Amino acid sequence: MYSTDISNKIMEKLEQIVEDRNELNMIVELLRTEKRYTHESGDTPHTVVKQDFQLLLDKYFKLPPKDSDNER
Amino acid sequence: MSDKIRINSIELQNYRQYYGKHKVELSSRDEGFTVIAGKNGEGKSNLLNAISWCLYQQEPHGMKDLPGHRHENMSLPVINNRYITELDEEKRGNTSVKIWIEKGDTIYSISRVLTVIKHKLEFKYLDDGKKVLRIAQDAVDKVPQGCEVIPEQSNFVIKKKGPQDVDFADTYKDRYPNALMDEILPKNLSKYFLLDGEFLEGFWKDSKTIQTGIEQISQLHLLNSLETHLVEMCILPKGVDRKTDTLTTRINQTLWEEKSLDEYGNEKWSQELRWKSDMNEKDTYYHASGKPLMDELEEDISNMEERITNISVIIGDSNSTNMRQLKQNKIDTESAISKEKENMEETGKKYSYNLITKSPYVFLKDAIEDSVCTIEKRMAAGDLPIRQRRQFADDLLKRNTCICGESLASDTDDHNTNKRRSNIEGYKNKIIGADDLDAAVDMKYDFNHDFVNCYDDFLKNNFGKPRIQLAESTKEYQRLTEVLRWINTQLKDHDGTKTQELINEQEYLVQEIQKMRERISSIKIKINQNSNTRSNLKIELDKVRKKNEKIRKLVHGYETWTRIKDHIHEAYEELKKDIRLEVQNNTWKNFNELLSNPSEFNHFTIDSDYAVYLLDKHDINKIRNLSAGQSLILTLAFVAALREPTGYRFPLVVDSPLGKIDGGNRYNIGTRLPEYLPDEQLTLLVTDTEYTANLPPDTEHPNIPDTPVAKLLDTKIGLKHFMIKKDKDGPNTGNSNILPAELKFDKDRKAWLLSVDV
Repeated sequence: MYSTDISNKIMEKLEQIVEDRNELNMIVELLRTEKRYTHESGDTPHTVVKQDFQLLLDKYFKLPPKDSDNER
Repeated sequence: MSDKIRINSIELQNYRQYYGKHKVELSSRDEGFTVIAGKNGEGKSNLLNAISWCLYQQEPHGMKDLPGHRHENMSLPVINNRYITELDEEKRGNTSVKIWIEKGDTIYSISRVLTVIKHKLEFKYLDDGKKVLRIAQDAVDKVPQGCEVIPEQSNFVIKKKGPQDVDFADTYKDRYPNALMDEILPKNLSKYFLLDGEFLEGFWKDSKTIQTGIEQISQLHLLNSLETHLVEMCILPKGVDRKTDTLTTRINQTLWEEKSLDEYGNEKWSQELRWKSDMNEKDTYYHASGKPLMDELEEDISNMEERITNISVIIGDSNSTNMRQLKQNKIDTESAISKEKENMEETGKKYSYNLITKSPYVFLKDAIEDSVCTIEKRMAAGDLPIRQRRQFADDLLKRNTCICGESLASDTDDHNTNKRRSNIEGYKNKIIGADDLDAAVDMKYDFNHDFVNCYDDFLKNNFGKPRIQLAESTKEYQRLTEVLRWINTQLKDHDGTKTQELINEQEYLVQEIQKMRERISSIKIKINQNSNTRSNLKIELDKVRKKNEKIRKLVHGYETWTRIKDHIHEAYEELKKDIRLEVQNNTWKNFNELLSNPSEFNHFTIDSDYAVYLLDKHDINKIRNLSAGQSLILTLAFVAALREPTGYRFPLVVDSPLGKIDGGNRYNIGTRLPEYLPDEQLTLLVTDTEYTANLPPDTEHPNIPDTPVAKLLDTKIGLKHFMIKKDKDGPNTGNSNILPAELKFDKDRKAWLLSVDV
């Protein structure tokens, strides 16, 4: 269970649907980011969204080195 | 579970009718309800406005300024009148509202200050010489005309104190105050916890209100906006590498063909019309290619096979007993026609004969009657009938006996006999006249018997009946002729022409089915080929991507975002439905429990587009025609229902919860409200009459006790009371104070009252 300010209902549903732990963690952080956006006045620029999301992608799903592709 | 949120206290300073500083400490839910009572116009609704103004700089309750309204003073200034009047010119003054909110284990001190500098107040002079203070129309916060708002000294500040903190600390460096406020108690949700019981009619008229309530309180809007952002992240940019673009396009082309799509993702259609069994059906077209086309061909083959079967059944029927039956029917009908024809001719002749021979009787009716009358007169006079009289006399003489029995024998010595005989002979010799006049007597009898005494029957039997018989016979003849015509038509249809047409149709369908099956085989082969091509292209694409680092990174991101997006979409769609239904069902349950007459309504639904339906027993949607009381109860039911699936714990402040509610419903609310929203702080702003007056009698609920709502609540939950009292004299006239109060029973008045602690 997560001590987040994301509602329990959403958390339970995500835990049902998302099997990968990394994906689940990333989704929680994405939702927190979205929550931050909603509290800010005006629309969040796309470049800011892209940057924030890319940081999370690098955090949770870092691009593997080239050599490890052959194992896929 | 979300953190519990409560309003610890509210402090007003020179806000509206509150001159000076006033502070109210609200009880927690564990302690019970807070009840603030006051008469109309003393400042209850402005307490609600004070909270709203402090948190969101808006005052939605009560009279509003209409844009472009030509009359001034629709709103009173935010700043207290006495305060601004007493303020010296060119001096600064301010109004403020401060609220302490506890969320979880953190306390927030939220204050809004409006500072003005007073120049010279401006007035409008009325016709009778009175002056009216002008209000500045262009300011966000209403101030008297002649006062200038000082923005740099008007502020909105939030400070916080955590469980480990000694004192409150500024939050400005961490978050903008409005953003932080939205985290504590979002502005767009304020309508769900600051309820004005007198202005709830609009709550249910807009499905947006319901959608916002459900989706925002349950945070579904986060899933929605996240999905939107993820869609943008899922776009693989073109032009990064020509070879990968070409490969990607070729892969997509195989997919498009398989799904019969064009390059824009729209369905692609051919110009070929689909077969239809019913010519009256609308024309449809086949898809251009791929699986959709294959499915359509399969469907049409199935329909055609069904048609072939039907045709076989029809042909079979035409060679069976139907044919024999028809032929027999023809023979019988022809025989009947022949008989009817004879009958028709006979009745026709009879009718014609009567018309010719009997019509003169009708025309000479009067003459005949006169003749009969004349003959009867002569008979009465003894003139007629001559032959009969003579015959009578002859008979007597021949019989030699009179009708009286005396002898009339001739050649006798008896004088009397001879004399009698002689009399009769003399009588006979005296009968003179032509015999043929006796024919008139016969005619008279005939006329009487056959005509005069039965004229109506004469007409009926000689004209009426024959005419009717002729008409019926003619009609029957025509009917039989029509029947024969129909039989001949049926026989003609079964003579093989129609059968041949059906056989031709069958053969055509068989050929078409064969062609379609061949097409389906071709399509299957093509799909397999495309699949193989696609696999090969994907392998090639993967190789190319692995070589190019930039592309590799892009693809990696694309694939990850696509997976995440799909998860979010699935979660959003399922939760949207689950939560909506849960809120719907709980609202209905709560509504039925709070309403004193739930049988008036049959059904409550929140549709997938958030339209709300509250049906009565005639299936009429009453949602826009609720009374104020019903609207408030439904809103309370909805707000209570919202907390269950969302876990959102917000404080509830309700203005005039009982004002427009009848006795039965007041009783229900008084007894059941303590059970609702058990973890949430509840503050009620009431008038004394709705709170301390005994429940009004209700004929539909005769068992309602003679007690006020105050006592009903008091028996179930702790209550903290305040009274708003307006000063009626002195320098503070017209301004209000909020004072602690106590619920007491006044023995003299025999009533419960709220009395201010002295």
